[in-house]
Amino acid sequence: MRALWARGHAPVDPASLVAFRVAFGLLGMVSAERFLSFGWDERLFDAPSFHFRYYGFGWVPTPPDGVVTGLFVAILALGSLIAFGLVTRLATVLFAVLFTYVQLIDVTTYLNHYVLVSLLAFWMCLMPLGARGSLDAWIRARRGRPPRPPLRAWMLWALRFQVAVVYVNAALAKATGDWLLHGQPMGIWLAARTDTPLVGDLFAHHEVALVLGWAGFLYDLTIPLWLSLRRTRVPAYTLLLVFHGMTAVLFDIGMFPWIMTAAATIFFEPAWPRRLLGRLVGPRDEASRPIEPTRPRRGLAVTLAIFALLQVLWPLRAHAYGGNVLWHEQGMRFSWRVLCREKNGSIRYRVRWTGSERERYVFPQRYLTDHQEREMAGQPDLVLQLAHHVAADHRARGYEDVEVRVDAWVSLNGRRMARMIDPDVDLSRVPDGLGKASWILPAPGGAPIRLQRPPRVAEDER
Amino acid sequence: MRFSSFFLLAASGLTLASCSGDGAPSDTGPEADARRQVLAAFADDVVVPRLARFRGDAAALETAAQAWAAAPADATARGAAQAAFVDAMDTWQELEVLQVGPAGTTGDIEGGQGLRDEIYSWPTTNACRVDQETIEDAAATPDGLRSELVNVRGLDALERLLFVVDETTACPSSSPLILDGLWEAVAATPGDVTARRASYAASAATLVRERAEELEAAWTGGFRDELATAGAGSVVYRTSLDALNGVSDALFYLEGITVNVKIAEPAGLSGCETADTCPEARESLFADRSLANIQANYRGYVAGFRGGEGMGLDQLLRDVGASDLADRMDAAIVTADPVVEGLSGTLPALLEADPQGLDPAFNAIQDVVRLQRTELVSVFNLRLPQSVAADND
Repeated sequence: MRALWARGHAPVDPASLVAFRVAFGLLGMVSAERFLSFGWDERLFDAPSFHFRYYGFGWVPTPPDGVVTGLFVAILALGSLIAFGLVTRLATVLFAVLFTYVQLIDVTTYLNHYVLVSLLAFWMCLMPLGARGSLDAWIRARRGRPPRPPLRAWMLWALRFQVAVVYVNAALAKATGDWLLHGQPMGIWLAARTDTPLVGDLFAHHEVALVLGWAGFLYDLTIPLWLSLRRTRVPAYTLLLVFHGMTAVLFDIGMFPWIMTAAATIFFEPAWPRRLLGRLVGPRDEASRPIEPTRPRRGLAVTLAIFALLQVLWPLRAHAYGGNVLWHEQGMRFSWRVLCREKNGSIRYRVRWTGSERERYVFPQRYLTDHQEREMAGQPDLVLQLAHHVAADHRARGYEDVEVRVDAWVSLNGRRMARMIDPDVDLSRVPDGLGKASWILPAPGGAPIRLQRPPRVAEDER
Repeated sequence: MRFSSFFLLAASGLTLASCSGDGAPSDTGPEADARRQVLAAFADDVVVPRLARFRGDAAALETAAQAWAAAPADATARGAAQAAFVDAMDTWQELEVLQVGPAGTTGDIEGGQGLRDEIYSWPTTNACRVDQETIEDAAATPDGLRSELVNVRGLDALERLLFVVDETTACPSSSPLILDGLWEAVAATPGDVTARRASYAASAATLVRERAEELEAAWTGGFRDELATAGAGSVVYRTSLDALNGVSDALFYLEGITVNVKIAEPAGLSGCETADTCPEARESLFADRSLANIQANYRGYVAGFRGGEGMGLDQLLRDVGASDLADRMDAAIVTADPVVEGLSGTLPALLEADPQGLDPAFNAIQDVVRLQRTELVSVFNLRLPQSVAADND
């Protein structure tokens, strides 16, 4: 333990951590700017009259209209402070809190890479990343004060661990028959992207979907290892650039490729920015300075270890539910199941109350935006949440003994649609929770759809 | 290779790869050709013939309305104008489900010019505003009416003008029209309200005819080619898939409007909680053509799905290996056909005779559109209408 503590607290060249901080800040700025310029702040947060909440986070306050816009402006500003290293620790803490709060407002805005940004930000809150290569350090030097203690090896370890957790779990999520044996949903997505320059024609072939599916699976599973080994680092990062370049071109995956491309540099030798930029970065300032040993802090070490263990175990919880997680979605979120399903659903609620002679239908658009409806349609816990809201809304309008059932038809990876939720269950009486949901019906069996190339059109018919 | 050189080369490669995603696509394979066949058939066999028919219907409506304006007391002239309206509306209701391009809302729909609302603005209607226009001189000429809001100069306004026979107003007693005695002053002279309505109807019919010509010209003068060359020279549609998405979005009218609003609300299936049925929530309040409108919407959907004489979405499904889905959609349509076409009489009469009389049509049409929402969009990897183009992972 002492040896591990000592190794973890060994000073490291801060260059790669500084580069990581700068990239994180810049990407945080770009992410916030995209929300503002695309109007997502209004369309995703202000427009809905109802917000889906994460289990246990129903208490999160809904911001008044316009506040989310202000939050993204603040996140943009905080990103710039992080990048330049000005009041770095405070900026990072505020960034982490605000970015996470925005995500907690509505589950339908959930994206894996937003979660990663929050987790990285929280890790960074524990690290004095403004100690080097920052305006903070420059101001401190100008005031004639000695530099802050050096950055430590555990900081690299923590960030590498976090990035590796994402990759490995993204691979494990793809270890399914649909992905590896049937090439779906990759086949569906590629068939719609045959217009891609140079390689688009290949995408129409089923075999290409299979090959790319396997390639993605093996890449995610092993890339942290290849990036960690000095000999394989250069080809591995080249492959990473190709992989994330392709995902950026092919899919509406937003900042994810850029975040992973930047985050993966944390696997490099800590001095890589110095080697890349040479004199621009300058020599390592504390290389010749003696470092005072630190005493092990058992509480901190245990806390970090538990947090890390949780990161390993939490994504695996889906297996405890049994069945197909892509169908029942229990354990789907926060488990890095990145881009692994094509799911479309049709939802209508059936409501009955005391005195009503027949069931009345409630269509989701009465409460939801189109974006929310599309996201909800494939996620049973969100269907349940809206059922509770529908019941509460009817009760508030004076109806008694309100019962809410649902016709939820869903197609997974191009399969025949099937009922996702038992239509006979009164969802208004089903509590939300983390237990296995008996009201979710089993996933449909059989293989997903296998698409084929349409016959070539004769020249004169075009 | 030096580390820095490698890094810069790799970064350049990544940037180039990303940039190529925003550049000109090479939408040339069999998939794109098949989509363009569907799009061309959608234009040539489905939309353009109906636009031509609607242009003729609108011209006939204008002529009939002008004839009625010349003889407002002539019941035969009024009846002819009403018949012309019915023909025009029947055609238009098929086109309601086919709002691709110029008919669509500017900014929301690719190639949209907002012409749909110019022709028919329902559910944005206001009978009281139509009555206000009735007593104002501006409505007596097309030029006077041209600058007014869309809800007083399209087919929805015409329906009230042509089919409301009594000389009462829809305005509440608190409206200036009543408080200031304006309506009463006109209504005091028997036949004056009717004469003004006839004159106003002639003006509105002229504007509808003009917009019908404009819409047809927009298609034949360019948009048809934009659709048929999507992804291969079209400036409106970057890819054939984008254009196919536009067609799919338009067809969702049958679910979002026809089923959920036109059928479910008056039938008491949705949004009508204080009574068994709410016939007052029907679409056609004055001509009582609500059932015919539902039937026309359905026919427009089927035509749009099957592509008329040309290649339709059903054939495209078969060509990409989704024959099972194509068969089930065809079967759902075959099942729904007699149910929908069997609707007869007026909607209030139907519901009075059987409060659940619209339920079979509601369910039969839902069985069709549910397959589109769940499976068809999956097979073709289409977006759902109005989806925010947000990130996804």
